[in-house]
Amino acid sequence: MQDFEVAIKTLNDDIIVLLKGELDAYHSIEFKEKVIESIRGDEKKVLLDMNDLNYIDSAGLGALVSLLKRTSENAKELRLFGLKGNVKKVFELTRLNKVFKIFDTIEEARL
Amino acid sequence: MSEFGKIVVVVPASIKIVKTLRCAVKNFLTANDVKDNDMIYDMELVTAEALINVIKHTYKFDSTKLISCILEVKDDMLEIRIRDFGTKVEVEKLKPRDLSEPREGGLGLYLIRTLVDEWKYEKACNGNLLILRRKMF
Repeated sequence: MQDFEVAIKTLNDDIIVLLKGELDAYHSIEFKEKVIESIRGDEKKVLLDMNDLNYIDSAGLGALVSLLKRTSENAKELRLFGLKGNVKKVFELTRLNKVFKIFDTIEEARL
Repeated sequence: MSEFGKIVVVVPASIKIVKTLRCAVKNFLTANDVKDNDMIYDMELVTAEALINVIKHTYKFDSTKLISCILEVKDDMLEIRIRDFGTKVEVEKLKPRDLSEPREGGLGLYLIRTLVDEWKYEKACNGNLLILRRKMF
């Protein structure tokens, strides 16, 4: 089984990015490049589904901060939803929960 | 003390190997009756961040270099000793990150400092020795 998987799909006008496993220093660069590649279209919102993400380190957080800047530069909005357990705790510890737009569910994130 | 009260792991300075050490931390804590998943997550993260700092900043991604990691239980404290043999860290220049300005790097040291009860660099004749301690229960 892979430590980290990312799947990207389009749902109406939104890009949904599903993260599964562990977003760490080893996987963060590839993850960032994959998402950047996917945001060249006209979609306005990029929604990261964090429900199945069970580990994140500082490099993973750094990749998300980088994506936040990149989406903003491309007139898109990055939103996160489904943060759980220790991943949620790391966002709170680093106060990145104040930087990102974070929602509980995909329905709320898509509004 | 459990029969697994201390382990020593020596790894090459490669980002790819960090996960292996995280698993060693998890197994070590479990063998020492730690059932608190938050504690296990924190110590996996702290160890990973310390290793990544050495790999990036001290060894500049030279995977021929080695890092030694000692995990030890001392009076209900977990002690993690990360030893490298690279350029001396200028401890006085390690300043806490300003969290009000989000940027891509620099959160590793902040996480280490936040998640342990005690951290310090001890004098080492060649390289650096980072000591991290946290109460286990």
